[in-house]
Amino acid sequence: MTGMTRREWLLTEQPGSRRQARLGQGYRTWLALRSNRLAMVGLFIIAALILIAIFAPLLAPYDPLLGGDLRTARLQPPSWAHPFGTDDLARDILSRVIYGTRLTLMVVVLVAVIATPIGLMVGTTAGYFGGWVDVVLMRITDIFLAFPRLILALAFVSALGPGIENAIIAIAITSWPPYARLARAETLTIRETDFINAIRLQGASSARILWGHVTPLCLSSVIVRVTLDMAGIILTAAGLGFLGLGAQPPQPEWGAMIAGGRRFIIDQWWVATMPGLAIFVVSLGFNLLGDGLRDVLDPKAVK
Amino acid sequence: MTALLTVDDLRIAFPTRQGPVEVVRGVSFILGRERLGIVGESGSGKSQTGRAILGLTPPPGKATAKTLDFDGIDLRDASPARWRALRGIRISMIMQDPKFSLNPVMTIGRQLIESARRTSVPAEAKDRAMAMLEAVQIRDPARVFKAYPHELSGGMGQRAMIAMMLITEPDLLIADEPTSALDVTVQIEVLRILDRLVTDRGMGLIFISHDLRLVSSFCDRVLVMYAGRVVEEVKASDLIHAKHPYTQGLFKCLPQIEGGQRPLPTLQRNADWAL
Amino acid sequence: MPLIDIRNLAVSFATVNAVCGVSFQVNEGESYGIVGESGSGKSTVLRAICGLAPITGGTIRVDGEALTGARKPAFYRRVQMVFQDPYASLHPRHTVDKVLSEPLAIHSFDDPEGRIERALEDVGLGHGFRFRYPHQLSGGQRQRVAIARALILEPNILLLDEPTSALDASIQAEVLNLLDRLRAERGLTYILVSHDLAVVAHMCERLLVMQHGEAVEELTRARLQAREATQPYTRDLLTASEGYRPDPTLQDV
Repeated sequence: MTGMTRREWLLTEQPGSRRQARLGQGYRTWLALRSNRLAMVGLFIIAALILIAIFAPLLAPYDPLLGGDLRTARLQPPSWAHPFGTDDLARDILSRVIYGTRLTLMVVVLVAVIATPIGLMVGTTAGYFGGWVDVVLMRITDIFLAFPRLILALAFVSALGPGIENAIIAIAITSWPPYARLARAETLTIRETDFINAIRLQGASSARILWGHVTPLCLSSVIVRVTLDMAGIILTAAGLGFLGLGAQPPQPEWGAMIAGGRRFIIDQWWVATMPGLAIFVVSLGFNLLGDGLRDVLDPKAVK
Repeated sequence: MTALLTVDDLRIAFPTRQGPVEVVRGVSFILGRERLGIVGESGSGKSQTGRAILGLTPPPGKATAKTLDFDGIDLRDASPARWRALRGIRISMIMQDPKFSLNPVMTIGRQLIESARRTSVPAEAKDRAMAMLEAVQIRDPARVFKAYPHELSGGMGQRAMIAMMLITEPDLLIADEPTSALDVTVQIEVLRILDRLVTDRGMGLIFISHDLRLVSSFCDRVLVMYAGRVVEEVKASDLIHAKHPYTQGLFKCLPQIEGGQRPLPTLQRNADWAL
Repeated sequence: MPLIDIRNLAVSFATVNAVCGVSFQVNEGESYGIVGESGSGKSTVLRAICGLAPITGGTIRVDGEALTGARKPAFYRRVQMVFQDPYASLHPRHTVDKVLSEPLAIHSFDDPEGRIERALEDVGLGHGFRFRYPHQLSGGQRQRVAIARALILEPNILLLDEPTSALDASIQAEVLNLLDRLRAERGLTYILVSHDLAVVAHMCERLLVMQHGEAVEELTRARLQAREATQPYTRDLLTASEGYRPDPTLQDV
């Protein structure tokens, strides 16, 4: 690496090792993403969300669950002491919104971790093997797709009992079918390509082709789709919370907070508005990032 | 020779992270009512040259020239309205693959009539469309007239596309690898059609191709391009005796049915050629 | 005994008969050409040999052994294929290193490091290309990688499906020379499919002309060079390969 800046080392056309090749590729993607200003705004919002969730105890000025004096501190408008105001139990709304990032992030991460692999696996398997495997897997997918997400989630939650964990399971179970469809469509085009034929001619097993060669190519478009769906997932979680089927009081979940504030929406607007704004900003962040990722990762755009 | 198209110092640049890169660097030629071939390897700038004449340099590329004159019209900063009046009417372009140039959801007939209407009265358009299909040697014009592009074979599609480009009787036709997607036996027939148009109607033809053998037997004059420059301009029949080492090398590295050298002589590129 | 013995081969997909009653034999160490236009079924013959297309009639024997159903891993160590389009035959997200190490891993070859380096050396690329992605390679370099990938399992039969038709003439010459040299060095047997008579004449000792899924005629190189084709279709191909000849009727006008 003598006489070479780190940037040159990353961007070289002749990488000297596997690691350098991979890092260089990652750096190129990052450069492309960085040139998209809106995507960077989205990335900033999500990074902020993660940092706030990690450092919530340090950032929150008050306890999110314990309110102040119910006689004097209820439903205070925004002020220096309470920038977002207080709610009907005299709790500081800013602190609750800050702690709410943890719940939102948990929903987002768990849904992504559960739904993405299921969707990828079902979709690539169905697309690669075709025939009756495809028919069976895709009909199952269709059954899940046939129900509106919120309604199916409602049914699951009412069967399993309300609570944030069950809400996450319900959302995850209802959000994988689109990823399966997407992965299947991608696989159908990939499986006919010569590079898949070539690896087949080298005697690779189906499992090896699926995991080593097909899935990585489907991954980027699924990631883009998951990122774009995150806004919808947050809204569904908030919707379940709003209906009282997601996070249970006194957890500071944004949807439940809006539900709690709707009784005072006319006179004490801030109670419902502040968590609503938080949902809006985070959803926007995911959408912007997803759009940017699509420009960078979409294999059709790569020449 | 009356000049139909005059190109002087055409340059096409694309911006990159390292600054603008010129893919065409000072191409100049004068075209009469003749068959002019442009040959070169991929990346030599031959296709970009053809596109630039029609003002179709893909953004963010930018084409500049000292002169770009078509029949007394300055094409350099022609208005969109002027381009509409020229493109497809007085100057047409045939692309390599008909699949991408025909509208997949419209029958060949409707697409032909739409083009024909631009230059003649609607009542005549249908007759002219049928006549044009016959002119490009389509055996069953009535069937092709009603067909959608995907129902035609490659050769038929390419002929339909040529019919569409020629129905307005352009003065200049730019053909970018018009036959490389076709089988050799079909290729000759398509070239015959183009040949007839030049000979009978006095159309100017710019024939862009990577196939030296084809160009040398089909065109009148040939420009050989390398790295964005014209390295040699020769009479097509003299192409075998070309002087530039690049042109010679391109010819020598072609395998021959008669057999020849083994291993094949490869092209030794010289950095000076690109200067 | 011929190394590859194809008798009455038929391949049909659903309603289309892609290949119909094609027979030919290829001896060990020979280079055999198949010439035809698009849709002649020439590539389908190759695909039927390596199992990418179903054999619906006739037999294909390699070394006396009839091929049926899915091929065994051992088959792929003997028979490998190079595809037409070097832009489509390399995985867009895999480095050259990964492309070459996959087959070695599948067949658990020893010393993958040394084999990859030698394979790159053999196709004239060298170490500098080992960790590049396909988008960092030119068409000719990609095709060299594809040839290295096919040869890394040390097969003795190489199926070449229009290996140079997507390349520029100067690059084509380099790749043809490379294939020629590798065959001489390793005693490989080639079946080369091409639409270009000159390429086949240069590379192959014998060739089969195909049209509409059927064999038109088999020629030796010497007879092709002497223009001793007996079938009109072959003569058409020969005429067309010489370039454009103006329509005689047009010249009189």
